[in-house]
Amino acid sequence: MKQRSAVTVLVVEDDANDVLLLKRAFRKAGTEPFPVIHVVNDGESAVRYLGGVGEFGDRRSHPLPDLVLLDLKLPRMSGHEVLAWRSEQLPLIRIPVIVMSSSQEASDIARAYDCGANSYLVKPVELEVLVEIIGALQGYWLRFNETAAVTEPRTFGTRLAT
Amino acid sequence: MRSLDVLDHVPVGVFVLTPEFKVSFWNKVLEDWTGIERGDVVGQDVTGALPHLREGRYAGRLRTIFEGGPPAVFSAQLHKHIVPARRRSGEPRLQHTTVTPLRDEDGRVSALFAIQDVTELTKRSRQYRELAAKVQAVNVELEGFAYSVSHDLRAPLRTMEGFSVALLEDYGEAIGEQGRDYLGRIIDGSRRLDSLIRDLLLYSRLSRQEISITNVPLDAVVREVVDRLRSYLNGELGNVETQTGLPHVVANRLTLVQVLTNLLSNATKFMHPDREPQIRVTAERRDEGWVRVWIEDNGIGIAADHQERIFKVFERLHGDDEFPGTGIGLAIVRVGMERLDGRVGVESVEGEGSRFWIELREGTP
Repeated sequence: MKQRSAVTVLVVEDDANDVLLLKRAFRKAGTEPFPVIHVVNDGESAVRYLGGVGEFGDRRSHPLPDLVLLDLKLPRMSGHEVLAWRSEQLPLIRIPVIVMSSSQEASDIARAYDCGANSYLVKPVELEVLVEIIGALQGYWLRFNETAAVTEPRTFGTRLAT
Repeated sequence: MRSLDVLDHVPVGVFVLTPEFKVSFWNKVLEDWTGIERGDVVGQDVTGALPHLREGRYAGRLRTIFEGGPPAVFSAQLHKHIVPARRRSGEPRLQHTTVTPLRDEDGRVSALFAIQDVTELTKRSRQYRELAAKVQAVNVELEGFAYSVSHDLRAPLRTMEGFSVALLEDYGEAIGEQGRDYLGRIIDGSRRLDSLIRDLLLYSRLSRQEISITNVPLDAVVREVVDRLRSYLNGELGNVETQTGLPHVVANRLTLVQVLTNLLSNATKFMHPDREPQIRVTAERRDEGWVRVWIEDNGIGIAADHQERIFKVFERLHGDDEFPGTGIGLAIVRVGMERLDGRVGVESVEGEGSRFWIELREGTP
């Protein structure tokens, strides 16, 4: 079990309703640790956030997350594209990404894993089920799962040696 | 070579070439195709009628034939017009030509050309290819449609369900009993629509996804389905009796699991109000290598005139209050069995129970 003060989750989701429901599910699940949730609404912003550029340049207000929840169908840059970008970013690839999509198509699931997703969850319609999923996710990914330290990438978009 | 005269009566262009490149036979079909009379060409050097046969790409291969080599094929793709000839419509006649060595009494080898007119065949196969491309395009479009249905149609449903639940939880006291009842109906409606969408997706995925067919142990699959259903229904599956030592069948495992899951949950669903539910899964060998699996229940049964209908999409025999459902479950069974090259059917007496069956080819353990 890990020792850490503030846990951060980056939610990449363009549907404001889904964001609200997700936050509610985190609250309702009541599992420790309760994370600080940062939200971006498209794939391009997710890349900028993780890369720490532009409006996301200050790591004190936009810390690197411990976990990313990624939708697939996103404006500007799809979830698959975000995953493909991340697979080239050596330190950032250590941050676990969980896909949360409506799609249950085998091709979407396979492609997500091929691009390096750590887990794939299908968004349920029942809020009750979402609460259950988030509770399990908090326990596993934020509490028990050991993550590797992520050193800051010095330049955005270039491949860095470990 | 008088014995070749019979070749005047086949619908194939035929001529014979001696090693000196002289024409020694020219059949009626060729007279008809080319307008060159037999008398004008037989005994003459081929250069007059078909000069290109002297060219390297033909002459080389023909020499092999004259030396007694194996037959040669000049396909319609590469050698369309070995004998320049147009059809009555004016279009060039596409030809598929086989050249065979023909040995006479003295051991001299000539080349026998047999030329098939493949113009129609080529045209038809091109049409088939075009049709196949169209079907492929429609399939891709359907896939996109299914994707969009799964994604875009369910997002607003999550909103409806989620916020109704949130409203009920946070303000349930304030809106009173009737308000809570209304919210319950919204929640119920969204969940029903969700299962409808999910079943439709399953149905469409099952009918278009590529599946691999292997030997599947029926024993293990039935056990897996029963166990899973039992845990899904929190043990309320009733009494399920399964025959042991079920054979292997030729199927796709996942599709078979889906089919059996739907049939078994169907059997548990339509219970008779006055009886303990009793389900039996058995198998028997039929003629010509078929295995029939029976899923029998003692539920309410199906009237004879409805037994065909129930396998169609959206066909339901009961109102939602009586037996909730999407009306797609048995359609999924039918499509699944079609994909497995199997069969499905039902025997039932209304009020006494139903005996659904599926048939698959027996596999090897």
